[in-house]
Amino acid sequence: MSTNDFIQALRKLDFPFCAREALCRIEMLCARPGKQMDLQMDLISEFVFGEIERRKKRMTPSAIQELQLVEVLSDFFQSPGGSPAVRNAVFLSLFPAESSRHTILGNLVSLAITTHNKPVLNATGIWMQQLGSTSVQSVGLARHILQDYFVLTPNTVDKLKQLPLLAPHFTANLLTAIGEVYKDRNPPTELLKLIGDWIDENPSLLLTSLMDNPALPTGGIPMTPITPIAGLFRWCVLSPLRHDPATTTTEDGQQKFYSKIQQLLMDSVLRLKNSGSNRHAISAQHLAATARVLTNIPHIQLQSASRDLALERLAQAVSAAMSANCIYGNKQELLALLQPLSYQHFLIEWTLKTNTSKMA
Amino acid sequence: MQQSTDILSPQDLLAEVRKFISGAVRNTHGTNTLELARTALSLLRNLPAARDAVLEYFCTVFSVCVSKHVRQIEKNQNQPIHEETTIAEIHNVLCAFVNANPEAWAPIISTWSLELLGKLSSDYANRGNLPKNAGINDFLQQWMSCRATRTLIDITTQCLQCLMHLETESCIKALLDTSVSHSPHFDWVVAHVGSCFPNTVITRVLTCGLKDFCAMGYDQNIKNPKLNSVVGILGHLAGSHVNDIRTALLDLFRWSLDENINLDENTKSQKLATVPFLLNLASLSQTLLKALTTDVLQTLRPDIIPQLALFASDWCKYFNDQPEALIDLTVHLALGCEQGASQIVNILLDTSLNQSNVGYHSVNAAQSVKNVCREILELILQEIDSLVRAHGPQSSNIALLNSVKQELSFITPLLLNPNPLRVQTAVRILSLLGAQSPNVLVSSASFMLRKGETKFHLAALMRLVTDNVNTFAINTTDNENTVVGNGYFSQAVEQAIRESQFTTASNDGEGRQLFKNLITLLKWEKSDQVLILKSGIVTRAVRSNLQQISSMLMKIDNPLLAHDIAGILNLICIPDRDHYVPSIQLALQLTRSMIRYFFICIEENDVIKKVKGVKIVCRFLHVLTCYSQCARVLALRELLEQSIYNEPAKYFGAKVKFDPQTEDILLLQQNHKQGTSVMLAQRHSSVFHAGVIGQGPRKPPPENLIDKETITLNTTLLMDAIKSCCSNPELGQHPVNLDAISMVSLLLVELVSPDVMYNGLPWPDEEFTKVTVERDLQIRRTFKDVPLLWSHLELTARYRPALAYCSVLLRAIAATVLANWSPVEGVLLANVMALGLLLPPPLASIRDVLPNIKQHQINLVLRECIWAYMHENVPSPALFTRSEGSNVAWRDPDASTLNPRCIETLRLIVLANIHRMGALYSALFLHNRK
Repeated sequence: MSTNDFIQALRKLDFPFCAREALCRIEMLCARPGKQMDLQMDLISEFVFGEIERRKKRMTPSAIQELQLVEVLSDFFQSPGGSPAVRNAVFLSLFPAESSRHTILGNLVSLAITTHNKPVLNATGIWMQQLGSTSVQSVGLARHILQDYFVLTPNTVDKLKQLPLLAPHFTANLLTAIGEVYKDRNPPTELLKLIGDWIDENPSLLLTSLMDNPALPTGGIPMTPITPIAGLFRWCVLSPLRHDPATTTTEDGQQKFYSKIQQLLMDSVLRLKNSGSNRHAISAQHLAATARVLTNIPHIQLQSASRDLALERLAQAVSAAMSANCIYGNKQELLALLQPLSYQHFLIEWTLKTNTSKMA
Repeated sequence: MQQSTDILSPQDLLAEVRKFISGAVRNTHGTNTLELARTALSLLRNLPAARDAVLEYFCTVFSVCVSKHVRQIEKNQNQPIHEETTIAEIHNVLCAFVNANPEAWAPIISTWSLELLGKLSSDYANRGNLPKNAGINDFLQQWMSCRATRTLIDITTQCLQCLMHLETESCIKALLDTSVSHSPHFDWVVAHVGSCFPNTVITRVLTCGLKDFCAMGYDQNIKNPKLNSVVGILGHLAGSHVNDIRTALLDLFRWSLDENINLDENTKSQKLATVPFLLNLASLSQTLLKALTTDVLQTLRPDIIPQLALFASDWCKYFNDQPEALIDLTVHLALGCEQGASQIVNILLDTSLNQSNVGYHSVNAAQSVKNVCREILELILQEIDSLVRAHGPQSSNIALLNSVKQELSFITPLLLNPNPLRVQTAVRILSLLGAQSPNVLVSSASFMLRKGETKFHLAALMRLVTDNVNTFAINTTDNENTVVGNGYFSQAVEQAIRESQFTTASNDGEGRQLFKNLITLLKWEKSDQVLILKSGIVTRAVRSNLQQISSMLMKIDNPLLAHDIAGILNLICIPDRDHYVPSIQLALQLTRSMIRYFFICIEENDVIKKVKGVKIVCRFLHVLTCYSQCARVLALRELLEQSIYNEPAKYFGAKVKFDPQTEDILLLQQNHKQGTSVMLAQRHSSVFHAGVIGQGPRKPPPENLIDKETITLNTTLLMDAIKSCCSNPELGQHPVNLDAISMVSLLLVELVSPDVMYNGLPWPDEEFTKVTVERDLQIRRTFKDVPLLWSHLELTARYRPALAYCSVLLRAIAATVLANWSPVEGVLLANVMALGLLLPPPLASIRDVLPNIKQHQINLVLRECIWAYMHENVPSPALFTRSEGSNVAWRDPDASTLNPRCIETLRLIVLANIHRMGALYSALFLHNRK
């Protein structure tokens, strides 16, 4: 069957079926060596997403169609047969970085979480890693999921509980993205609790992205994974500084969660020390950004207790990471940034002393 | 929410999704809607990813319901729609979501419901039974009767209420955005939702409208649909939120005037567009016009005008660059104002009359602003004029006129403004209003009559009064017109007189001004140079109020005011050349008041005023009495009675009335006074000739302090007045009517003689005086108290034979002189009788004889000469013959034989006193013999 015949045949089909057929075809195309990227893209935009409108307008309203499409997609990825690597490739071509399909992707992931659709979640994890888990797209996806599960239907949070067991890689990347979502504000308490539980129950979760090798099609180059560690450190360090008088009552409970997460983070980092192989767990820039925020906050605005707590946590993070030797990037800059802070807290001073002497 | 019960396993969920998809895609309106909706709701709870799809599915549910409903309306059916149960369920769930987590759900649900509402209302706008030009209220009614839309509105309102305190702006923005895309069918939603948040919605709707207006640019017409939407929405809200709208409009206006240099171009142009925008809004809705004028007019003070002048050219651009269009719109809006007319008029006047150019950016600008203001004023007046002419004076649909009516107290004072333009404006407005409600005309004319002080204002008054006579003559029949036409002014005069009497009693200035003004007007009319007055409107008005005027003259005490009133009566000249005849009652009243005025004049100290006043009286009485016999009778009686007996008598030399003051008597004290003496009825033991015991000696009556000259003058004036009452219609050779003078004589007899018997002409036998002695003495006493009576007798004597009727008086005096030999009265008596030709030639000289003879001889002369003669010759008027064409009667001396005994007696007495009366003797007897 030639490509043209196949397209003509597809055009005779109605919407959900043509999408499904097109997906199978694309899978076939992906599996072959000569990939025919253009054809793949055409099929995707015409038959899967219906972006190219060749026939008369469909009667069904678009949101229902979208749901239909999401259902088809999740069904397709869950269907038996086909190698995960090829499926992942299909997934990557379905949702390229620059496209307007992110809402559908969000809904697809959201559905997959609810329906425990493992293949989709895995593919998404890889998608996130490939685009960079702190990239705009990944953060957008994370936002979508948080919105769905925490804001709109808080009763479905339980569905997320099992996520690390179901798709650890995806969860790790999601965690990194969530770290970025709440870069400049405090996350809700429920999220803190959830994350605490996740890490508590799956100690290896933070390092999963480093361990697992993603199933990529042949020739695919895996991107450097970014662990959630630095992002979560940032939360813990900066949270005492974002003291909001209105929320004093929930403050204590929240601070407990932060302490727990800090503890878990430290544990994970120290565990890296033993493995010795992972030098790419934490980016120096990432930590430096946190330190820079601390430096820029004027003294007077803060209560000394919470400031001390923040500095202490930062010092702990830096010294632990340094000792585990899992920091990559410009460590000199990080230390230079710590320099002005060292007068405010002895632990920083100590960390600085220890590490400068080591580096020298 | 049933959180715990319906936690579904992943597989179940997936099955639910599939079920939903298959149901939703099939898109049939089968009976399983409810079930499907339940699935959808459970998905909504459990599967966030399906949210959009579920909501979209609900859209179809709602629209199916709406379409069924509309079809039922069209077919006039009323069957239950089973979708309504579904909708109720959906409503509950959605509301639960919104209430549980407003921050998250409210934006989603409200956006969804607004969009759906917009879509539904535009889709079904032309359906149903609504007429083509259905207003916002019709829509509201239709949609609120539909379960689906009502539910949606309710959901929306709930969402917005939740969100209001969080993000008002964005909510309203969403609302208005939807409204923009579905305008005008969506207006009812905005209006309804708006009433939940009036303040914000009104402001935002205005701003939004302004932005749109501004964005449309200069080439737009009034039919701008957006503008209509704004008007519709505000119009709906105006029902319950007028104050908010007023504040919002005022704020907008103030904002547009706020000059701030640091503004971007967009805002600047919006500010420039504000006033044209507001004007257009107002032109589309009376309610908004009302709201706008209530507050904005207050802000519009003269000091803001120069500021506005700067923008005027920019405003014109919104009216196709035609300033005329802008002016025209302004004029029509002004006409539509239900209140604030006085402000509108005043601001226009103030601006156009403002002398200074302070605040304007150039002298030319100032001039042109003033011109435009005058033009607008002129146009407003013209427009009202033509409207009134077109629809007849009774059409009361000109709002501005109604407003003027309410604010009359501000407009009327303009009538007396020194500035001609203000006066003219007020005159025109009021005469236009007068066409509708004449009482306005009447009251303002009366106001001017009372207060106007210059001739200019009187001219304006004439214009005010006559304007209407001319304008509306067409609409009324001739007969009516004369009544109504002069009726207005008559009523005005009447009202003015009435009001002038009830102002502060101490100040008669208003009354004087009123009569002075009337005099001026009458003079103008008399001068025959004023065309408009040739109809004699003033005369007629005054005439119809003569009753009031005369009764006022009867009441007042202020001589100055009296002179003014008399001036009017003088000018009015009662029975005139146009044969105006006052009724008898009026004539009598006028007579009485004139007589009163006469005595007021007599009391006057200033001789010139006195004489002038009396002259007026004489003239008036002359005319009146010639016309009316009864007026004459009354006038004579009044004059005589007053001058003889009443208060004014003292001015004619009468004894001053003495009123011995009596204190209140207490019975107890009286009893004490009685002491032990016997109490006798009808007798008082303490009263004596010289006084009453306990009150000191009796006080002599006070002297008459008026000097002789004045008394003489007063007497002369009184005689003039009496004569003018007795005059013939044509003054000329014979000015006095003898019959009337006879009436005076008869009146004198009636007034002076205390008895009705023995008043006849014949003199009885001398012995008979013994019978009449008491009343003779009384008559004598009266003559002594009131010397004026001699003047009266003299007057009658002059006009023979009137004196003959006073025979009884003469007889009484003669009888008393007989008894007490008094030469003074004897002389006076002889004098009068000689003057009246009652004594023939030798006897006529008795007055010269009496002073020169002895007392006892006086008795003889009187008895033998006068009494005897009179006894023999009855003093009858028949003795007097009136020669042909003459007005004076003469007695033929030969007709009555003179008893030689009388002549002999006289001769002998003169002879006895020949040393004193030689010359007289010679003249009387010797000369006679020859």
